[in-house]
Amino acid sequence: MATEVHSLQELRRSASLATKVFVQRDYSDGTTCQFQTKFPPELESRIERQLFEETVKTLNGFYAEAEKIGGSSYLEGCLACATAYFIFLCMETHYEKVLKKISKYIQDQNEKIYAPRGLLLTDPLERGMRVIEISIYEDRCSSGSSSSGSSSSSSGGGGGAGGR
Amino acid sequence: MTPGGGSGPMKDCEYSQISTHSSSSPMESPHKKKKSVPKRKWEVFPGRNKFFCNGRIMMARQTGVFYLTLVLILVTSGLFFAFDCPYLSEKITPAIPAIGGILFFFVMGTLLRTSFSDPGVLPRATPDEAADLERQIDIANGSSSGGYRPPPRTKEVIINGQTVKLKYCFTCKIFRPPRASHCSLCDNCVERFDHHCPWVGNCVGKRNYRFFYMFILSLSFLTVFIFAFVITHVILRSQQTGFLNALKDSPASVLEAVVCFFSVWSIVGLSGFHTYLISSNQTTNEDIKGSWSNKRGKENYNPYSYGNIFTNCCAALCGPLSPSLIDRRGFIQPDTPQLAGPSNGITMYGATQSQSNMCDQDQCIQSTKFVLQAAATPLLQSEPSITSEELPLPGKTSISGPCAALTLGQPTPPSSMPNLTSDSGLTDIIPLKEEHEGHQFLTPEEAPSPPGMLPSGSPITHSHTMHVLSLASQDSLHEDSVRGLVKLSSV
Repeated sequence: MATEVHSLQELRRSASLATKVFVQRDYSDGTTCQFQTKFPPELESRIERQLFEETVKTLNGFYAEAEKIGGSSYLEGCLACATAYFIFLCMETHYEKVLKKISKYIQDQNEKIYAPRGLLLTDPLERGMRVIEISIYEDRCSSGSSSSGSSSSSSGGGGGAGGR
Repeated sequence: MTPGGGSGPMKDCEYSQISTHSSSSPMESPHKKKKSVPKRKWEVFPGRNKFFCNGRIMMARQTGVFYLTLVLILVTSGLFFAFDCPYLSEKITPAIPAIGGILFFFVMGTLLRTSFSDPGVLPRATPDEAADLERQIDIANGSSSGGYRPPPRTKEVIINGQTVKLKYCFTCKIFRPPRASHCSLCDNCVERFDHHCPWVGNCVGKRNYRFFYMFILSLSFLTVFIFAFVITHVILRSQQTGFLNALKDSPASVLEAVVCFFSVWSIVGLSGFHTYLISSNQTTNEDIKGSWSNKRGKENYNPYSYGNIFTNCCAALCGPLSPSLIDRRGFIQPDTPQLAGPSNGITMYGATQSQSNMCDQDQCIQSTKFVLQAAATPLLQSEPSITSEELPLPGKTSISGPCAALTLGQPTPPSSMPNLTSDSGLTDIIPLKEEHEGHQFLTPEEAPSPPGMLPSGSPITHSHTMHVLSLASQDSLHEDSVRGLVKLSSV
């Protein structure tokens, strides 16, 4: 987390937010948490369609795993019921475990794929599971989005050099 | 107003200059306030909820009836254990107080779980999301349909072959997921909204439905148990000393019998009703409205049902428990490092500032910025501090008034709103609530807000961002503010 924060802070210092794209929920399967895999047009020039779709599909897979109704979830539910739900005070639910996995995955994707392209994924949990928020950053001093390294050094002086 | 530079066009570098220096002077007073007492998110939660134990416990605002429920259960059980159990454990078996104790423990555990947990509240949309949705809605409706009363905002989705309409919530600025509903008493959108239960002092939704069901089920067993054994106790005593003497010897039994007699019908009835709902995978809301009944049409069926009763029950009671989406105990980000960066941080900081300065004038100010920001988004690099808070409208209190009165006026059936045995009064309230919500919120929502006057004494963050905004295209601002003023006059 520290590394990611550090590199993302670098990104933030060196770039400025241009716009945000929201990937909405896909309710065609009911109330289960799934996101639309439709490629937003604003990302057209920023990232390959396939990478984006793969990210969303993996996230959808994680959420499906979290909400899966099957043997282990029944066991957990019955055990919890038998203890009048006091067991939730000590134990972490299956859903919470999967959410931790998701958060790690998003961090990972941000570091490896999205931050180098000037994009930032926000964990849907922070947005009430309604949207995947993708922040698009414009590089301050160059039009390209991939040169965050060079621009971070130039703006490392806290942007004190106003004129550029 | 912030003296920060950048009087020219919105150049990135100039903006960054403002933001970097901001930490030194203009931000300092609110910063100092923030630094000394970091606030937790529950303290600025926009809904009408009460929080206890530093955000760990969450309840509705009206908790009077909940205390009544607690008192009834505690007193009746207490009297049972104190007066009836000694006699019964001697005469019959000590298993009676043991089983009674287990049932009582279960009832209290599930009651407290239902009352204190988050029912599945959906957090309100961030300003960016709300702006994005507004844009999409405008595109979908066509700008010509603007004006005073735009068409209601709905989205249609096909779920398992059934067409379901998703409504736009004007308070929370989101399209409600299927089965979610806005509770007017708590002023929150709740996922899989069942009903608002005053007896439990909370909404019943996705996250606490199973606790609620286990509560009423175990309470039915407890009530029947106490009733049966109190009667047994009186009968056994009256075999020895006569009926009237038996009553005189244990007056507590009379009280318990009376309480249990009146509660057993409603509680057992409610348990039965909810068992039916669970087995058909419906919510009280849907059942009352007849959303999936055959009366609406032959092809109308419940798209959420798994087909068989067993799976429906298991899914409702033993399915995975989703975590709370409102981070109650999280800290509002202090945002010092993020201020030096781009607007992502500023949005959050500003949002929290504005949330903590909750007054009408501030709402107007923030609403103005929202309008301006929506108009000038592509030109701006920062997003102004905006909340999606609403001016509390009188319509809401008028709805909650009759609701609360109706439920309180029926002490015997402890069913929640909507009431099983209730008349049409309550059932009218539920659809009424949504209409009211739509009407009341229509104009101010639609604007998205009336523009206030640019504040002179506003908190520094506001002025900071306002300064940034004033650099944007003034024509669109002017147009928007005029449009907003026109809408404001129509409220």
